[in-house]
Amino acid sequence: MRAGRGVGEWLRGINIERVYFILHRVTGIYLVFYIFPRPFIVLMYGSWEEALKLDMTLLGKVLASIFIFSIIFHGINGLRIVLIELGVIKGRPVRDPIKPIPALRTSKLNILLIVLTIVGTVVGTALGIYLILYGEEVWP
Amino acid sequence: MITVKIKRFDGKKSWWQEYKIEAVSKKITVLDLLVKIKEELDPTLSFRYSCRMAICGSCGMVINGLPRLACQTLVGDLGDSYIKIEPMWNHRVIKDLVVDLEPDFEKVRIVKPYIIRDLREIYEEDKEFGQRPEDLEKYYNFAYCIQCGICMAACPIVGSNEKFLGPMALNAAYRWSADSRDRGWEVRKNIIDDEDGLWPCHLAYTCSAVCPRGVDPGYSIQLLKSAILRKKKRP
Repeated sequence: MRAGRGVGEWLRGINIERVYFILHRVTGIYLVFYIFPRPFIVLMYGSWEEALKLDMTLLGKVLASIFIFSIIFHGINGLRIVLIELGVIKGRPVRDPIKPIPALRTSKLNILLIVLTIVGTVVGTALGIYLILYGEEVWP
Repeated sequence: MITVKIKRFDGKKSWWQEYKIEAVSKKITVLDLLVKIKEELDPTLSFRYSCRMAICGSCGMVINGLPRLACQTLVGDLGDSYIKIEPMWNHRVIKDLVVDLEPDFEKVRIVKPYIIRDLREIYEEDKEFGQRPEDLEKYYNFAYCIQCGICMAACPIVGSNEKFLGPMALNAAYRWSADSRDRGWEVRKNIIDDEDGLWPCHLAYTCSAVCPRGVDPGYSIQLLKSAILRKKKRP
């Protein structure tokens, strides 16, 4: 018997970075499923304008709202991960065997980007949803 | 009275079993509680332990939803009188709370966890391999790893990809490659720069969040990535 849940292991939200990891995966998968069928939908309806009418339905607006959340979160968090992987965001290992603190947790830039990711996503998504709902009035 | 719910496994079937036990103090550890259960209530309960002081790394298990060392977890710190214990995730269970750590150790062996030098330097030249204090700082914290496997239990990628080397082995790869006395970076780089090497790590950072020694394997993996991407001579 193997303890654990396979791919289900992704879903344990133990720490904030793990929650971001889950959201990064979920939004990435959503983006694939939202964007990939688009060309086929356009082909099915014959023109881009006709296909866009689907986005004006209630379901279309909900899916577009999730798309905006996904693309903003995935983009900003992806940038944070790239900066860490490249060694631009660095932690300083705390040399304390009694109560050690993981190094990246001490990086102010990492903490700042974690906060900015969620703030940017919330603000961007709110703006996006506003434009989806009232875009025609803003830009007639 | 404390209620301890333990996930049991006898080699064939798995079930949850509850024990009610009097804790003499809230300052005792979960390991003490397990020993008490084994001595007073159920001698068939199996778990692994040795040093009782977070050095040997034997008593890793999932306590109240978090992988931890039983000897390092105080009952009083868990908050209430209900404790839920499972074997470490992402590991094959042998019996009850005893898991097979051999695959973890095998992964560590793959990355060559020792100083690699030309043998002639060691055996034919009368030479000491000195190290400055600032060189020691580069890997000091990462050398605290006791290979308890808790990071492997917490890693979501190990959960979905058993071939992934995982935080324990990759931390060892960093610790030995960052050692100024070592000359094995190129060898280790070829091992870890692989689709199942360090690249599946997507910074969930749970390995570092749960590490009982504060080793921060999540960060050492990113330092390895950075060294490869920037083509450094050593991490």
